[in-house]
Amino acid sequence: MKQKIYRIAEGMNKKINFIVDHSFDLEVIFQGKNSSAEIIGLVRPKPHTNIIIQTKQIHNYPHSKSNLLIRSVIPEGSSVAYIGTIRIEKQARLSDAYQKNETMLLSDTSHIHTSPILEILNHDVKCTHGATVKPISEEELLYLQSRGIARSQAKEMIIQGFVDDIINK
Amino acid sequence: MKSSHLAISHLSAKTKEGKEILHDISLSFRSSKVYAIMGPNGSGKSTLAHVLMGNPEYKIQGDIMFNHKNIEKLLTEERARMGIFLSYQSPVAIPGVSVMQLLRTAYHFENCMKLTQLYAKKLHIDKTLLTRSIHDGFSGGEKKKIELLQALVLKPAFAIFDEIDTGLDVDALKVVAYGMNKLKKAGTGVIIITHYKRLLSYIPVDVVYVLSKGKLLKTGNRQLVTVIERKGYAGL
Amino acid sequence: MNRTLLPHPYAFGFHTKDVHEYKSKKGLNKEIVMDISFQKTEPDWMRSFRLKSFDVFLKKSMPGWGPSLSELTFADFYYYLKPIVSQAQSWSNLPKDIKETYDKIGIPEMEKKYLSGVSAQYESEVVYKSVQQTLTKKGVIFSDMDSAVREYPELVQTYFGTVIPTGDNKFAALNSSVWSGGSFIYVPKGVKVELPLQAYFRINAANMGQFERTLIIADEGSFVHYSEGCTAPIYSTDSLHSAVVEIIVKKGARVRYTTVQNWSTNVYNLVTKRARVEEEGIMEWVDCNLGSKLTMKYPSMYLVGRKARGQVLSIAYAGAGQIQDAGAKAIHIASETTSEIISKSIARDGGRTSYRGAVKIVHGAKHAKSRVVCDALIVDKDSRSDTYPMMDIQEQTASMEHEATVSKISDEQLLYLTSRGISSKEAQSMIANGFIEPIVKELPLEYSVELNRLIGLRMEGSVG
Repeated sequence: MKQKIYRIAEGMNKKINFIVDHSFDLEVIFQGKNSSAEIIGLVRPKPHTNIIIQTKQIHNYPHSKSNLLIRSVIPEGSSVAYIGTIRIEKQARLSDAYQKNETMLLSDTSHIHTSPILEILNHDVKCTHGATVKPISEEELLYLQSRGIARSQAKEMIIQGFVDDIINK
Repeated sequence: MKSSHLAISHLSAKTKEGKEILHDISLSFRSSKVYAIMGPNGSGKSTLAHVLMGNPEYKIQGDIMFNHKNIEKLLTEERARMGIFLSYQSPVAIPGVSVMQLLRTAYHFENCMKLTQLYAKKLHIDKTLLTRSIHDGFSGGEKKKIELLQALVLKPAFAIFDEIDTGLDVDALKVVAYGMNKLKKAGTGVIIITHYKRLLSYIPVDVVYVLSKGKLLKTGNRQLVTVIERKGYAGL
Repeated sequence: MNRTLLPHPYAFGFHTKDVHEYKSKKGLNKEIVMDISFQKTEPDWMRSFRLKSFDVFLKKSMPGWGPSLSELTFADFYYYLKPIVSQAQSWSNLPKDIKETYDKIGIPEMEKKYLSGVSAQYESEVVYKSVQQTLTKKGVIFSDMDSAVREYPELVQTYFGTVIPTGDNKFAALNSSVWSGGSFIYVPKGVKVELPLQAYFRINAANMGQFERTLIIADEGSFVHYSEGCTAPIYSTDSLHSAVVEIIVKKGARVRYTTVQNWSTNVYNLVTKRARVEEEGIMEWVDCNLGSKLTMKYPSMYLVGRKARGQVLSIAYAGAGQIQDAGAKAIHIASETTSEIISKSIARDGGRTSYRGAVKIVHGAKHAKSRVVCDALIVDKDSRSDTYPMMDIQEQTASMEHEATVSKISDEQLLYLTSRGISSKEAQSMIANGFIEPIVKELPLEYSVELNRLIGLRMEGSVG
């Protein structure tokens, strides 16, 4: 499995982006205070593949901030197993960590397994995580169809929109 | 209510990071009088209110005296119990805690509920707001009225209103002025922090303090309000 | 809140001198299991169920996840205690000693007020039962489990062990071998039981295990609300509480199960609770975990019928030396099913709260919806909060939302309340109670008052 570790030094503000279609392990480890990391990722496996995505946001120093957003688009016969950990150690006071994982299942045989984990050992912090799995909105499909766009094409547009939105960030 | 006196003497205030917001200010306030604290944005008006209330975010030098006794070392709740009240500019929401509950706990007396409902009616506050989580999803105007409601029920010696007039329509302004007049008549020293004249046309002001860049720029009577309206703060 | 209303909660840490007719030897083996069955004069089918379960228990390993259970030694406990009196039909017939115990907890008042029926558990056996005539007239069965095995064998045999099979986990197997006491409820079709049915428990003798087994069957279109609240004395040696609750919610029925658990802080509380919800059925778990040294409890719902709904409202409070490892499980098997899990936890004085949850939507559960919200408050620097959710979605048309936040008591909120003259301690207490309010308001009145008071006292540091 491909692995990437980012160590964030004091005063550093890092932006990390990735687009993967294979298993991937990303670790962001804070090594100094007053630092931040913003991570945006798109996970889109090929059809009929099973991949594992692991992310870790490890806060060891005070005044550190991390923000992670991952979108997954899962085609037919594929599965994504996602484990996202935020760990705020005892000494990392006044740190903030956020994590959001949004998934779209494209077909009847798509599968997502997601485990966002929080381990918080300091009370003077703010920490949020969210995970959503949403079907392609019927409302959006009907809207596009009412503008003369064929349903299958409308579907493609919505999926592409979901993907592009994240690429643009 | 017996007559009270609140004064600050050579007061300076710094944030925790060391930025000085107030420089060597001296002001005094008395019961049953209405004061306006005015000044452009960033002049330190809100900070003054918070410092009077004892917000631990600020480090101060100088004296704060309530009835000629120093209170700088007192905790916020002790100052509140002595009779200092602050209506917040953007009051925080507290899920699961209603204003009714807050007042009952703050003042431990049975009449609280009836009194609260009475004033709520007079201030045109929807009674459902009394039992909902305080300030949670309330409109700007509703938040300000709920703050004023608390002052009316708690009957403090001094009530400080931090920009209560921002975002209120004419009807709400009139209602707020009514509440403040009521407080003044009952003996409260009303201190209104504001940018502009609006509210002040509905409530007769006795003293105007103008702050600028953390210092006391000018003191005057209600005519000063009109001068500011015409010439702006730069004209002083 | 009227301060003088309730006594200091650890006044519940009392015990009357042991009043027992029969006490099994310490530890657990096949003979003890046989003996338990013999003491209860059980039919053969239950005896063989116990023995088979014991075999499973021996073979099964401890859970490989969660907090450490290494200090738990099964050989250290007594697994059965039969008290002196058999069931009394009314309050006045209870022996004085037992009446005193319950007087202290305050049952008589509550009984007068609005209980429909009470099954009080003294040690491992139900001592007192009082079922009002209206219940019996409606065909509702509210009995203790031991009697139900004897009096309603067909009903019990049909459902016992069907929601939580013996092999489900080691503690379910343990309970299946040595269970004693617990409640049995059957509500016939279309019958709605308006008043909550309640039960009380106590652990008395040192090293006593509590293995109550509850089975609730709500037939089509019925409604019942069952609630249990426990208090237990404080002992220096550890106590084990491993209950099993099985609930069957049939088509269009609704069951609400409320628990307020306040075991003393030497108790291991490892509970398996699960409901099977059929078409258009509704299951509501309201679970409050305040006491015990370690609680592991995940009320579950298997949504097997179309449009079945399940909800878990969970509060956990962990103080010094406590671990609350609680959460919920929702398994969506049929279409248009919905689940909602709301968890609020508070960790203080070195306590540790963990939310552990699982939402599984299988392929074919069309348009299933699930929503999970878990909020945790860590009050001080020694405490800890974790969230371990797991979501497994295999249905394209399903939707799932999960949100968790961890924070401390906001300085801004504290400042606001103290600026109204409220002491900092009391302000913390108000904020903590406000935090759990959406769940507390779902509790029956006497629980919500006690709970608010308990949280208030703990937040102010008046009790541990």
